[in-house]
Amino acid sequence: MNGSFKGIWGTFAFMDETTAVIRALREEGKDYSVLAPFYHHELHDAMGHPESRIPFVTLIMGAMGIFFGYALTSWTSMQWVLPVSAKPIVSIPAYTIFAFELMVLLGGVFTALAIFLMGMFDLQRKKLPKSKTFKGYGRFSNDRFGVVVRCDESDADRVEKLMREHSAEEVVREY
Amino acid sequence: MTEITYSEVTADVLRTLVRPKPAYFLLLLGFVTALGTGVFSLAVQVDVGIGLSGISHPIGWGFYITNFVFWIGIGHAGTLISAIFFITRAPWRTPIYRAAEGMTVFAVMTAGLFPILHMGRPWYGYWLIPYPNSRMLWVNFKSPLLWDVFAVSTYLTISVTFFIVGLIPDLASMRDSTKGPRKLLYTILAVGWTNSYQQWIHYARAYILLAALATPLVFSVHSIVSWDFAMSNVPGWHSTIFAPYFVAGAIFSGLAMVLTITIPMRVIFGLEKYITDHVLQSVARVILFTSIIVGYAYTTEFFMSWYSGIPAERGQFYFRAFGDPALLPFSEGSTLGFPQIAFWIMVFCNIFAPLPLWRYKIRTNLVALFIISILINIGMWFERFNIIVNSLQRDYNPQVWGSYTPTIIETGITLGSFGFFFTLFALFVRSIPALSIAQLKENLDPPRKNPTQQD
Repeated sequence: MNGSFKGIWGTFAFMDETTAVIRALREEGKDYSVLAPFYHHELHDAMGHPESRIPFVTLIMGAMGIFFGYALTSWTSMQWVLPVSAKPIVSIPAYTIFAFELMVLLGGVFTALAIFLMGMFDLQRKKLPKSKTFKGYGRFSNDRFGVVVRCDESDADRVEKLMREHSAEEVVREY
Repeated sequence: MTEITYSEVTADVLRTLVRPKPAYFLLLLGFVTALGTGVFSLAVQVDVGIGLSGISHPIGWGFYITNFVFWIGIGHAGTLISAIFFITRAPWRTPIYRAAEGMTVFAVMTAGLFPILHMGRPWYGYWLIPYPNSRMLWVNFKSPLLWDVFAVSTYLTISVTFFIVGLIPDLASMRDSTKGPRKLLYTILAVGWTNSYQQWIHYARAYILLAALATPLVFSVHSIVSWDFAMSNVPGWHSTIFAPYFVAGAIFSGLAMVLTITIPMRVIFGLEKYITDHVLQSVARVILFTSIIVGYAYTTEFFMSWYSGIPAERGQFYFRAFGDPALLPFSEGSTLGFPQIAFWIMVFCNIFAPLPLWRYKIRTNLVALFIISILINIGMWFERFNIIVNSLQRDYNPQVWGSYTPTIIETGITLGSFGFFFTLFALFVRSIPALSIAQLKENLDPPRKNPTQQD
């Protein structure tokens, strides 16, 4: 069966028709998702520029990297005092290199992890169909755009009509 | 690329993963043979000891550290192309960025081996990492060698991360285009990628952030590698221009290696539609630009050594080009030898060999581009040899002057490093899309029902 998803989904070959459907659904306040083989600014514009929270992850983890970079080097220098010619025991210019490297390391790795964690979280919130027809439709990674609308059966006729008016190739209801 | 459709892109790129031409297998055989030579040489060295190499006082850094710096330099072009040219929106980067990223990962992996191989007891390599231990000892964070450990390992981690992130949507494409056990494999590797905008929005934002983080990293890594030398008190090393000089050289050699690998890739896999003449000549233009910077840096080094008035500095640079100053070059008893030959190979390959790239005809001629790229690779290897080995031969104190003769073991390990790099790359192009499917499509004009309307 199709799990907790209830709604309708359609496939599109044209960018302009897909963005027109998205705009119409957004104006009606419908709960929808968009699928595409790549990221495109026109789709992003049509969706009203939804923002990602990933920059916060990068900022926090980058700041933690700077903190750990200075903390690790300074603490270990105090733990094992290693006098090297006339250099200070805690040498901030030298330790800035570690702060920078750990900022990039933690910021970068957690940014990458956040793509999948946030994507998974959002997919839990905005479920996609789980039917075999949907999962077996492999063209969203190839050459087709998709629009998935989570709606009651009473709304399905109107959404289907909207999709067909904008040259939807296939429209599938899942209830 | 307006006439290409999305499905054509998918089909063309996935075609590179099916059985290639026999030329591919011939090349692979050559690479594996080189790798085998390296593995055998390394096994002998580990068994007998580091004394089998030619490194000895005063030349403690011979072929191994030359190889380390060379491969780190090669690793620069990938992130330059995938991050810096992404931020600056250079559209010609798209068809070659995946190959360049793969090249970066494999080059940094190769480079990372050498500081370990160079140790007398490589099995204690993990002592470089700061970890709590029973001896209550910590590493010396003020040493440039430890800066290197952090810089190179961060660079490798971020390069791998960037590479994997870019690959995920393409793995989803492969999942949707295959059947059977391969489909299962790609389903696992695609980590639940659905192509939904819930994922794309995070992806696009994260990609820019990763590029922004990787950009200063590109410049920092080779700067830190250069400080291994510049922080020490050796004539020819203790120089403030080392960081920009090394970074320009790294970009120069890395882009040359991009041409060395993408030109055969284009021919073997028939990718002329994507890796166009425009793409290759754009790389050639950046090579030309960095060649000028490198040439300027060579001249500045000589000028500074003369202008400083320091006899050891002057003597060092005279020695590099002409041998010992007491004798006239080419005269009877001249000390002109391998170090000087290395210097003139460097000058020819890095300053003069790229000059034909000023001509459009040369920039669009595959054979000429390939030959020039090979010459630059040779020249840049000798540049590192010239900086490292030649400098160590002539220190401040003439009583500790020495000479360096590489052994067959070092030569075998060096050959093996090329085998290791090219074998990994050859396997990569057969198992993973060497062109980014998603980003190629992003660069195409999307199909429209009403072509005159555009958002």
